[in-house]
Amino acid sequence: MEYKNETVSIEGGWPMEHWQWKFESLALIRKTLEALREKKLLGLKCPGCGLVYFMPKPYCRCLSIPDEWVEVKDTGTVTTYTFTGAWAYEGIADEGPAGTPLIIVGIVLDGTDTMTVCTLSDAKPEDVSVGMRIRLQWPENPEGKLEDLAYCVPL
Amino acid sequence: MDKEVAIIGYAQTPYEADAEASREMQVLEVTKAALAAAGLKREQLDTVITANNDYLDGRTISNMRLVEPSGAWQKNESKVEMDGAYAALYALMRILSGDHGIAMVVGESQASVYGGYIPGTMMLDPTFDRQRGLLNEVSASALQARAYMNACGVSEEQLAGVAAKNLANAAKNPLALRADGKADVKKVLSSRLLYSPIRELMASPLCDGACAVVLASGKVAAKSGNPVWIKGVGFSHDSYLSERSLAEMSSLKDAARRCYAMAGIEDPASQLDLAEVHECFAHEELMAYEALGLCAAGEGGAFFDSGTTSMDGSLPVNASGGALAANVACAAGLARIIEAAMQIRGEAGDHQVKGVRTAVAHGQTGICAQENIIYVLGGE
Ligand SMILES: [Zn+2]
Repeated sequence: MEYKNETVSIEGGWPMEHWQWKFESLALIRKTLEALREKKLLGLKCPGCGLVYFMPKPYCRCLSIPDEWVEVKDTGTVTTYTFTGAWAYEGIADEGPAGTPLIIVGIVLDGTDTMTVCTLSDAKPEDVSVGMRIRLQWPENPEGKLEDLAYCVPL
Repeated sequence: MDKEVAIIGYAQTPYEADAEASREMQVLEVTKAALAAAGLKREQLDTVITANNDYLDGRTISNMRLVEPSGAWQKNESKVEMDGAYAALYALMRILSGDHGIAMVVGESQASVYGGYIPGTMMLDPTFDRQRGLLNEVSASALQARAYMNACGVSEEQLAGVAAKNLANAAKNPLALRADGKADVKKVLSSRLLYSPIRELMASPLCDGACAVVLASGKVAAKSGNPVWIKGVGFSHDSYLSERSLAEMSSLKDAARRCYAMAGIEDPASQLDLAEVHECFAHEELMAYEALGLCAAGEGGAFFDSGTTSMDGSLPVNASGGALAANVACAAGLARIIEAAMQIRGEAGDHQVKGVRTAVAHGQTGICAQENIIYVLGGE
């Protein structure tokens, strides 16, 4: 059954403005993305339990509605990590630049309570550890896109 | 729960990488076999619950072509888009309502159709994580593994040991897809690295298959031969992966607490004879030891090293090979229930453990085991 191995690639992205969900997250994330242009990181704080979400989220497990924007730092702590092996995963990059393993870190930015994932650059797999300190690597001219948050570096 | 609902029949297909039959025909096969095992005719079924998933099937209403194959024609039918262990919960509640006496529960999917781990990205947060392209079922579970290993001092060798144990157990289970009687730590550690620390043999093989369970009220079950009683059930949901500690399975722990209270289990390590856990990756079995209270928190690695959970230990875990031997999405947890029931009935053949009276079975759904359900099962 060879047809199963055929893959069709279609050029294009997934522009979020084309989605018509009634999804409050989009409005919140747009605000956070917009702030990235000025190299500002905006988290959203829950009035009920004090949890600071980054990325922002329109509802909380305590049933309150997070509504207080707080500026958070671009430094943080690695809570977990992984790196890729020699494995081609369909549709998902399995290598970093120049054939090096891609290091994916779960980080909690200072002043926030939720984990976000990021690619660690300027480091080898053996350098990364839980608890290590990192800083987001801002592009020279952030464009207010998710890509602005793509990389972090050891602090 | 005391003799209110029992398992009176079950069936599984062999688990295969690419089954010849369609999902519909696999469901037909296990439905007929489970009915025959229970000594029932289709007409005697009161309700049918299936577990399947639209995005795995690649079309909406994934149960629409299962009405006839699952025995549900002109019956009270419904489905869950979760593991089959949740379909069993739905059926259990219908029987407990008093309105239904006999239920057919079916779980199925075919990874050869949907392409392995790829649809797992649909479980990610759509606005952020799915856009980043960094997370999928394997990389997210690798983050879970590392968080756990770091918190509890677990080594890659211990993860490999779990995989080797389960693959060796699977060699005695004729239905298993991945099995290796000679599996050892070295062999597992020399399999391909997917996402550190997860290697190919530490990751469950997604595959094709179906399984079915017939549940019956106490009144019906008492008249059947060899019922396996549901003594307790517990289930719990956790937050999305970015809002919880990945170092522990807190929702499984919560589910276990509820289930044990219902089943009268105070000291799981001594009261349980066997466990079947739904470990999508090797580290999840160690995390489950802790969450299920088989050992103290943080002691999963040492507990494994003690040999307690091996085939000849006092509390074998995954005598069937577990999900590392075959992981059919929407069926693997229900298969754990079947395997536990087989052990209690003494029908497990070459992988039978002696003297199993009380067993725990676990199912999970969602990325990094976000939702967990467990059952305590017992014989007469
Ligand atoms: Zn809150």
